[in-house]
Amino acid sequence: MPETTGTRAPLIELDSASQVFHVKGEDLPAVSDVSLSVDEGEVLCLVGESGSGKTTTARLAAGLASPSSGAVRYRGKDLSEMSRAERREYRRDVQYIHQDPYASLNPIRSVRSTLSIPLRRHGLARSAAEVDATVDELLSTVDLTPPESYSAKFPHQLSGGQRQRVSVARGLTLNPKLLIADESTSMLDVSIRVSLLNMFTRLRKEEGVGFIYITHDLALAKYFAWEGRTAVMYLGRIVEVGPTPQIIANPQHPYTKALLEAVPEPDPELAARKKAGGGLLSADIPSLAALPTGCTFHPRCPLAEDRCRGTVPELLPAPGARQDVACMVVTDPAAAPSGAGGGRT
Amino acid sequence: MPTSPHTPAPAPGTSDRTAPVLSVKDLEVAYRTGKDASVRALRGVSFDLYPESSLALVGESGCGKTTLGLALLRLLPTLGEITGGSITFTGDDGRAREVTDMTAAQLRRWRWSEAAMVFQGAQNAFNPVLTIGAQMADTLRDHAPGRIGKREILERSAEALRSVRLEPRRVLGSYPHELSGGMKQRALIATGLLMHPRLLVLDEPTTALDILTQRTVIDLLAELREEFGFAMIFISHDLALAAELADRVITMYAGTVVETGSTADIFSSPRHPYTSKLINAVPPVSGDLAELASIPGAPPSLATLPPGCAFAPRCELATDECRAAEPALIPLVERPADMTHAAACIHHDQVHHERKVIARA
Amino acid sequence: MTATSPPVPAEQNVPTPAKSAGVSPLRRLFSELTRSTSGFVGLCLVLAIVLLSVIGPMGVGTSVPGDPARAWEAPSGQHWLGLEGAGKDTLHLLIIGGRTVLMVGFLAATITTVIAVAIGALAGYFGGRFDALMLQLTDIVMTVPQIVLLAVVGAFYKLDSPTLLALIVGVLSWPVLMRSIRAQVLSLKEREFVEAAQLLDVGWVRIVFGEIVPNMASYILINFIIAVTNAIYAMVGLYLLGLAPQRGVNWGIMINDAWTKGAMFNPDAMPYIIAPVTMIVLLQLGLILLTRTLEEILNPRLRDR
Repeated sequence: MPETTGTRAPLIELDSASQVFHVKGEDLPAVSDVSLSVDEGEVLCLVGESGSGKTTTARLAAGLASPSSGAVRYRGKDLSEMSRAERREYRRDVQYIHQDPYASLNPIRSVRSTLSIPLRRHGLARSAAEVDATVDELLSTVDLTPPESYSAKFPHQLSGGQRQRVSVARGLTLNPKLLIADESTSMLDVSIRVSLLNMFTRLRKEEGVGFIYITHDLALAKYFAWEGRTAVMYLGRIVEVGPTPQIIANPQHPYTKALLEAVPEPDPELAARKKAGGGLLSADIPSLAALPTGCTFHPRCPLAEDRCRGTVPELLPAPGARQDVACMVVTDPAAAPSGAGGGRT
Repeated sequence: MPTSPHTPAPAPGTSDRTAPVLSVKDLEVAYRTGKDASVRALRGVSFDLYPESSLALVGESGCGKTTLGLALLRLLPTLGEITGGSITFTGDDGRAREVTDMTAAQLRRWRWSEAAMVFQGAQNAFNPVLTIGAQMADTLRDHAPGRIGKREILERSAEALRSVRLEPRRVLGSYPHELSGGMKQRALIATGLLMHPRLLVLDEPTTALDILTQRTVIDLLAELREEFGFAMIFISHDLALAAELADRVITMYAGTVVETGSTADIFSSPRHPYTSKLINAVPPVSGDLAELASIPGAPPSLATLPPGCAFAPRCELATDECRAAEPALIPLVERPADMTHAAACIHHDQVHHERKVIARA
Repeated sequence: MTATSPPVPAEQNVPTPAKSAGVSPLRRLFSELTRSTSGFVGLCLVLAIVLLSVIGPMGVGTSVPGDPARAWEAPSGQHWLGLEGAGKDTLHLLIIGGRTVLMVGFLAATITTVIAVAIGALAGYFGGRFDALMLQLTDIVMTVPQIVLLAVVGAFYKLDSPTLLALIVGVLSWPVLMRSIRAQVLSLKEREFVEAAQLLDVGWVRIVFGEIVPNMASYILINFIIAVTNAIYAMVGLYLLGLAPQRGVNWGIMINDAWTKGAMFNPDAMPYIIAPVTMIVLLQLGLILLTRTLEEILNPRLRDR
């Protein structure tokens, strides 16, 4: 079970949340039974490939969608049961930064206009001078300096990295305690993503802002969430979660191991040491519309046993490691019946 | 039935080995931006590519690497043109040809049969209303010398698909939307290898693919190189891919080559500040937690390049000498087959590349 | 064959032409309009007619002297279009006759556009029961025939004010536009910047009218102009059918006059019939040319070449 800090309710908590999408007569279980929590100043990375449900989970945490079952709580209060005032408080504390910076900025608004609207609306700045000063401050925080050369620009005049920063600046206008940033389909160069992450780390250390960071790049997750936790997701479930250094150095779930093996290393010597294929039986991800039974990973898993086909594994502490893993073969090896190993499906 | 023109590795010392597949000298490409205005997108690029070797063109967006790839096959868009320099291609027959002088008919015969390209955005490269088989057939008919019959088309297409580990029966009759991202990428590579070219240029072959699929494609490319023996140029902003796939790396910045050398040399001791920063911006997964520094500033606009070294505004080693004149490539460590380590920086001896470790794994 | 032809290359830091770098959109629009021949012609036509009808009467005076003895006099140096049935100068009548037509056209179009945007945007944004209700309302209004309504209203009230006419035409013409605005809003509200505004809790008024509607500005403008053409047609039709108040002077009345007073069969009366018809046709032509060119210009994909 995910740890909560002390007895005070965490800032954001998902409790067995699930989200099922009904598309064209089919049920797609995008997120199944996900529980996690993040507090102020903490960082949690959600890592996974397409179909893993990481973006949907992030949107649930951001209150942009309601779970089909389970609960999403802000400071212990269920989002669906909030009054308007409580909802407003939640909104000020928890902000979401979209994946695509071009789509998330209104093309007809200048940067200043985009940033000043929430400021005025919530009374955070009243006179034109106050607004200008706050806008400049926000732009400086996101390293868009000098602010004057950016505030009058329109989205189509900015580069991808700059647009992303404006998007972050907008997310910061209400002084949130938690930022949920989805970078999973980022087309930006690594150098730009790194500088954004460095900015996030500064915000975390200086302002105590917590982060939920969604990415498909384990290397970035390692870098950004080293002092926090990482959750690896597969087809809507968390398969492994724990302190990031442990996940990276001592992965327990075969999927996590495969992911780590698959990431290319910017070092020819390290690259040469990597095993090809990660030992998986197939590189293709099953469709959400036709999920395998039991442990959804079993068709691709080199450790799959008979029982994996029938039972969905629970997220339990891995023996001898400091993280939780959803794999019966790892958490309960003694109970392996005859015929273990191989991937017979 | 034609035999696969797979060139067996020539014995060392034979003439084949000494002739590079591609010899680029002082290539200049410009894009027209207005009635009389143009922008130099490539400013004097030179390199030689030897048979069966693999070269990575690395740089941030806008450095000109895609332009270079397109220029090599004379596939620049209408607004771009080669304004200077030469591209010499040596085929299996040992004859050297000047690509910049080829006529449209010659280009058509040359492309895809001797040099092929796998474009960026593979997910959308296929025509959505035609089956994969139909599109591969089109390619063969357009570029094969002489007439080519249906049976031969089928055989060649099937062979190409099998080489990328795809099932011909399943894929030939499928439409692009019926294939996953990884399969489309592999099918695109197969289309490039249909006529066993001597040179294959790939532009960002793994963007938008999931990690595990990406790994499959990387491993596949390495295997294909061994099997078919083509020379490979791949273009990427991801240095990690270069470390995996290339035996040689060229870093580009603002349309010029800033560093070139073998992968081992470049990664162990980069001699251009930009390369060093690029490497430091890519996080390794294995090993200790290293500090990541992004490169301050942004790549310059090609229309308003400062005189002297284009990287000077973002470089902490820059001196007045740097800003006065554009530095030439200085050879540092001699190696055969154009793997000489060279950097376009007069302060190359001050580049100390190290990864600062923040925490031990 | 797309697999063997390169896609349009991604940004290469090739600078965008100075035109699109922050120059006032209005000035840019104007320069684009003047570049296209049809647009320029359209603009000139419309401006010429508007100026003629608005400023002209101030120059020539609104009262037109008439000498019945000189009815249907042929065009001459003094009277370029000759005289009409009551001996009045046709050209003079033409100049002062434009005002009402233009006023009714623009007023009706404004009413139509405002109602359509308000209802369409709110219905599209909120959806649900409100949307269903608005759609019902729209359907009801759509089935009311203008002519019948006017005939009925005319029977009870003295329809002597063109403003009332504009009101009726405007209030009955909004359904079609409402549906297309609603369709646009339905798609726009899924855009991420709308979600971002919702995340910032800025309130539905600001979202609908501050974020969504401005993104349809060009579409609304074009439809406004189309509404002007439709309103003018409707109005002329009403005058022709005699359902509109026959007070004052305007091109519609002139045409109706020609019909009822038998000028159609009088060869000397040619200028009197052709002149107003020509003016209306020219105005419509100008508006349509303008619309077509605006559509091309305001297409966002062509905006930043």
